[in-house]
Amino acid sequence: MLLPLLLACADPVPEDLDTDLERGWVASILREPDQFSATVDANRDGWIALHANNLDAAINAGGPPAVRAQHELEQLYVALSAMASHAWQEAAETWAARAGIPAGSALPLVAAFAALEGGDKEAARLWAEKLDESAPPEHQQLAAEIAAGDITDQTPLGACYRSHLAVRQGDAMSTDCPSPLVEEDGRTLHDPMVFATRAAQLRAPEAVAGLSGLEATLFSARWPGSGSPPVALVDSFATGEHDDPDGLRQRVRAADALLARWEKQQRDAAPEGLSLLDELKLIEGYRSRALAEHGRQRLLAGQPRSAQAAALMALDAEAGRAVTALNPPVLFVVLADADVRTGRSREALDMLAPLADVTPEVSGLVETLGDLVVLEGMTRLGDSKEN
Amino acid sequence: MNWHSVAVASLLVAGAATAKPFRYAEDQAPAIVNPLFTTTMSEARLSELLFEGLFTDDADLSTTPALAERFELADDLMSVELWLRKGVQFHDGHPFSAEDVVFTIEAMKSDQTLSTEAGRVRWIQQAEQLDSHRVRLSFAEPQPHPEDRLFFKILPAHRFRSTTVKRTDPFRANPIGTGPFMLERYNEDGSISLRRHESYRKTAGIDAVSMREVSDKKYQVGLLIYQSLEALVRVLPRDIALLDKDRNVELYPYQTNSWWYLGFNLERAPYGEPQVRQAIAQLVDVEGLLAPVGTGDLLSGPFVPSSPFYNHEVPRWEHNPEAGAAALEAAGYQRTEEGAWEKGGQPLSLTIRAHKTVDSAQEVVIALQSQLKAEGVQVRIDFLDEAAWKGAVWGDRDFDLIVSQWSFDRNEDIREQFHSAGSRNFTGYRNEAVDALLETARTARDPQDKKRALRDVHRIVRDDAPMVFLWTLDSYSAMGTSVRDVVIHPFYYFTWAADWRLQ
Repeated sequence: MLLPLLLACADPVPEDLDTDLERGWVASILREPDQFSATVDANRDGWIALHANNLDAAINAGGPPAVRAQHELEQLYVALSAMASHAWQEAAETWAARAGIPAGSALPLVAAFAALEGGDKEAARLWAEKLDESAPPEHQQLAAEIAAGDITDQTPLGACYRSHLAVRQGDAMSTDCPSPLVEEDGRTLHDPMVFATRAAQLRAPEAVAGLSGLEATLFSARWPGSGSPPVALVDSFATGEHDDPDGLRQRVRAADALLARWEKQQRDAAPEGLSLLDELKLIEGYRSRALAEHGRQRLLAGQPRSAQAAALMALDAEAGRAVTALNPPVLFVVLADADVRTGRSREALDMLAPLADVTPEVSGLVETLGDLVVLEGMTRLGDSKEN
Repeated sequence: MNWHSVAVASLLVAGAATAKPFRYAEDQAPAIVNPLFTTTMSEARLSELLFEGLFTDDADLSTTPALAERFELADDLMSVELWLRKGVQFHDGHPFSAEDVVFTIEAMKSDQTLSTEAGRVRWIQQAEQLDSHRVRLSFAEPQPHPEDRLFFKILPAHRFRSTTVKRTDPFRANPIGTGPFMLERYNEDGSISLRRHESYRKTAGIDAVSMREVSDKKYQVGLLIYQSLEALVRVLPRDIALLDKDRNVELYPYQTNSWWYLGFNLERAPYGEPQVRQAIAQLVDVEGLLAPVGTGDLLSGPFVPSSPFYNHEVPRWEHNPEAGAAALEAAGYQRTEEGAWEKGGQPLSLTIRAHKTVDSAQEVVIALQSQLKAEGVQVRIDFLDEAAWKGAVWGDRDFDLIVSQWSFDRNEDIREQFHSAGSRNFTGYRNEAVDALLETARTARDPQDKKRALRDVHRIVRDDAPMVFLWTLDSYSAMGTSVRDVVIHPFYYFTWAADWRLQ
């Protein structure tokens, strides 16, 4: 429970902080435990898995938890796609600057795909222009198509690109892309497009919209479909336009005091509700998901240090290398992406490790980040010490 | 000293000082504060507060000027001219100049100095002073980014008689640098007090720093919770839960790519025989050793699992006493009626040396002794203080087996530990294939060639077993919330400490 540890709040509580607990599922479970039990009993394994952030198991269990888990997995892939687009280009830029693009390599084409994933056609064109003259003719053709903004399926990589786009428009994969995407001279280049495509495959907006009440909101950081105002705890951590991790930490600590105060005020609730609150760590789970979501928002706003601070305050460090009920998988994407955006590509590898079992596609991102780590250190001298 | 008195003493120290200090704990205090001989993380962290290099990392880990102001690289990449920052003073008021840069490089390169950091300047052929604040460095091979290699700390030439510097030079107890903090005093309780260097180019947000040696990790946690410390550099996994829930504490990842190991002395019989080393690797229950420390990832080789160089296809030596016994028998050992192993009437015995001041290492060593004794290996334990450790391990290589840990920066360059000419190759390990792969890794232009080479090294080193690779711990630093604007360097920790504020 938060309560015993959070009573001594030294920081003043800003007036605009809104923990939003009363409007959501935490209060609902506390006040109406029977309704919660009825909801959960209809698909016990699925809800248990969703509570534990075991998305795969929740999807396999079917029913409303599967819809929710699929939606969360889709969002996870969206976050990974954003990270991958950035990380691939960073790796390619560093490769070009530190070691030079290998003669005839398809590296610029893969970097161009990564730029297109980020919606940057101009960057894609610039990458395509860097293709070496010694590259195979089909790569030359693809480079010309990228530069012209019209990628066809006339080349193997172009066909793969088109296939990804087809999936995102609701069609089946027309061409199976090789994995890794390119193998050349003992070198492997991985596909930066797999994440957005996987997200598209998981997207099921009608199924999500079909949920209501607890089925729509349970264990979520927001209250979708509940009719409540959109401003919730997620947004309450905002500190303005500057990347201000200390300011964020203070707001989180203040919010923690509010959460603890709310918890203290619930002492007269039904014992069943209090028991659920405690045993399922509902407030902590809500807090960690809200902070993870806020971290995502900070990344989108170009504030990686605040994103990192939010995610670290969410992280249950006791199980800091594992997806748990308090460590949703997206938390690790936020931490890894923030690391890459602050020059800590090596540390990003630590953060991606827990996702290996959740999203197998992450292995290509890990290898690409590994290349980046090596390239960044290429002109440096390593240091080692005892202890 | 008991718990209560530790806390009270620290409060008294805090109260007596005119400035509120930033107090942090190390498991063991630095034995030497001289950047020429930095071998431990605690020394490296303290050096980061006291000294500066020509270049350093900015907050995004890109190279940025520190004592250098700018540089011009020759077109042939064979030399660089450095313009040094003017108006910089050492802690004793002496002005910093080109003479100090040339002196530092020559002292590090000197064969008589035997600097443990000599490898950091080996690539510099010559250092010339052009004027008071201009230096030219020449190289044996082209250097496209020499600034990336000029992070070593600059020493004050005027404090030394020559470029031959002994480990015992009085400078180690009276270090003078240009860094944001300067030594104030060594205290009777073993702590070290620093105060702000007022002539530093920007005003540090912290007035004073106090480093305390606290080997007992539980004491460390208690001191932080009761606000008798502002920071614990490294928290054991078993203590994370308690600190994570404390509202006045923030946890920051501080991984340092570190791993624990048992290191054999291959130059001492019978540990030169791979079969004996492999046998011991299988007699040891690594998970049992880890239990008192907490949770961690077990390793099969000389990298942490998240490393680009970790070879995930290589299995670790599993705890398998039967296989270990078979390996010993194959090496000519027989079991006596009492269950002890012997060969030619000589018992299989070893002396384990470990750090006296590292509480967690002591627990591991005692458990290891118990495990090996149960399997018929005679074990003697020798706990050494830091100075004795440096003498026995770094100097004389006088050990059978050591228990220790290595920390690596993000390059995870293991050459010094495993190359036959490596300066930190305590074990005496020699394998030509590994030497060649390490050279490939160092010179490769393609990052994937480097990854492949080091993954091969992982495989070979695991089989050769000069070390038994134990584990890496999920590592955090804990900081009181009174410390603001904290950004921790992933290896040196204090690189940006001048920007921290204490409220």
